[in-house]
Amino acid sequence: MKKLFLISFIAGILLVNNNATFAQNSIQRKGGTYFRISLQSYTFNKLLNDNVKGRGKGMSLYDLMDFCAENNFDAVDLTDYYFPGYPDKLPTDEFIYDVKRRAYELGLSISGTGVRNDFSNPDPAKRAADVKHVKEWVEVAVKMGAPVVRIFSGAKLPEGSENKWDSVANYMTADIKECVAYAKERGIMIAVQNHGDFLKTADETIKLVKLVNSDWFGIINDTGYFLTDDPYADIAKVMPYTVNFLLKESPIPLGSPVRIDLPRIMKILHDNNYRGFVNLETLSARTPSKDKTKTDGAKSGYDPYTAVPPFLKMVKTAAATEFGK
Amino acid sequence: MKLKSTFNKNTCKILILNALMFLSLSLPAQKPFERKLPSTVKTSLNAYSFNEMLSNHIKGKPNGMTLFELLDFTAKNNFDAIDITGYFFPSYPQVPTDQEINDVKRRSFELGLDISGTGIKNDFANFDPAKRAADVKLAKQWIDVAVKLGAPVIRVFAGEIPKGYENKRDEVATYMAECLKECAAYGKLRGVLVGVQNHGDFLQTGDQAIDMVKRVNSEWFGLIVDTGKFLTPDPYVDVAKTLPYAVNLQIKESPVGPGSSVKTDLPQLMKIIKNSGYRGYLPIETLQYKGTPRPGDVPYEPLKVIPIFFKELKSAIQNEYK
Repeated sequence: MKKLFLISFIAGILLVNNNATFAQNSIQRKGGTYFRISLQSYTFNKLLNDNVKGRGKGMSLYDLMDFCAENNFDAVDLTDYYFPGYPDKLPTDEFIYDVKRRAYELGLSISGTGVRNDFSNPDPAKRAADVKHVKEWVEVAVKMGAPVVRIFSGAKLPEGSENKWDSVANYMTADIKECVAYAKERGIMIAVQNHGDFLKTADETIKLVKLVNSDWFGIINDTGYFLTDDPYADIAKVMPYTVNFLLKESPIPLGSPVRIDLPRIMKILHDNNYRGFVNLETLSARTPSKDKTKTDGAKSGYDPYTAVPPFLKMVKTAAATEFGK
Repeated sequence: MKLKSTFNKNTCKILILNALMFLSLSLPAQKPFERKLPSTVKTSLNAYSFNEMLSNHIKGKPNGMTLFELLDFTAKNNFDAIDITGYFFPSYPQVPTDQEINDVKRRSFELGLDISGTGIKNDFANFDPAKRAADVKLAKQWIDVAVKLGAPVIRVFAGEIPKGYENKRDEVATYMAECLKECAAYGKLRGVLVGVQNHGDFLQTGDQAIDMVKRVNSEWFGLIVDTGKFLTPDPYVDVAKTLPYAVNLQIKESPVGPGSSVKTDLPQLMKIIKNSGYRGYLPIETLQYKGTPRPGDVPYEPLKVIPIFFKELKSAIQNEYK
């Protein structure tokens, strides 16, 4: 315990030093590393969609919460597209409160929520519609008791137009600033996820954070979507801006067989004094192929019911080894 | 129903408690919370443990503590959550500005803390309808604050039975239930649970607390089970009885009262909680003894007392839930 304290203390000093080199924005966390484990609903993407779109019984949000509770997750992260009515209608207050109450009854915190958006779209009307949706979902987050709304940046720039990154980042920043200004008034954080899209690296992600420049804006640190030679370096680099940590089974997207180095991840969390949620997300082994048959989770043999528990166990074991609990 | 048991006859008592819980589960009126899964608990700190220091800060006196310092303390000690009572916002009973609320909420999130609840001071036992109506209004205003804070539940009190009403319990219970119903209806409208705390006041026993829950009869209403305020021969029995209706708890150092030499039997309490299937927060609240100083009394120092009590709680949790 003493040793843990000492390590945290040193990590704290490092963090403070680190902070001094950045502008503002980086989060000042006191106390040692302490995190709780949440499940990102995308893990059950296909089943949740089956249910919402009426393609079959699939899985309801209630089934998902039961699964999280049965597996003793501390929290659950619920994304907009799994709410009945999406994208045409917002969920009713009654539905939101019922979900909130059920989560509480099960002893689950709601670690966050999220939306689908594309702020790289050159069409201002399309972006404005997405800003409107983010604002609407901020209201849902308030009602649900979710502290943060995840947004995306936007689609990858078409090949050959990479030199347009800065100009796209500029209009994207204006959109995100509008979302954040609204969320600030409502007490909700906005966080952008590096998703191997417009944001491929830590530097790009941090650049966007600094452009937006608000205490109410940060990063969903997606450990599986930095498209760089050493994703761990990028994961570590964005830690000071991380408001939710999204832990995947592989550091490489789209069904790579490479497994994430959990001891290394734990060390990164530890070194950065991270406090908050670690959201687990397992994925179907999708390939980048256009072949539709290969993008179907069921056909890839992916079964979240059997994929999640062993991953959770490995994460807990790695945490216990690093933090000696 | 009266139970004769001593603090030591644990095994026998647990059996009786289980039977009691089964009975209360099978009663037809208000349903207890649906808890089919094994119990799991998270820790929290009740801000009232720092009552004097937080109040000092608000009044501009020395030896004060801000809410942000409270959050830092709570995080450094690795609590999972913080319970922030309304009166530790400087504006209380007026609601704080959105900015004050949002800053506290964001800081809690950054520190990895949930806000497990909030609460107000009120008196629904008061015979004056105007006073009760004012307190219902206060509860509604703070339900709105709870929404903004992201606090899932708000604690209200029952109140002390007024002088001259000692033999009119039913009359008081009737108008009190009306107030609580109005709070619960508003809580439902805003997605916030309302919990009444057994506080050794109008609600002194498990039966009295459960009777009130059934009168209010809303799935948005339940009990804040206070382990230190059942004024009965064996408070553990009352804790066990009320847990199926608990929306939150308050774990005290003593089942009797602040300054008592009788300490809460945490292993026994954890066994009761685990048996109930409760899933949620276990906020602790340490208290200052407010009577005339007695020989041997040590000054109340929350900064020292809380970590010790918290350590005892965590080890009791670990032993019971392993």
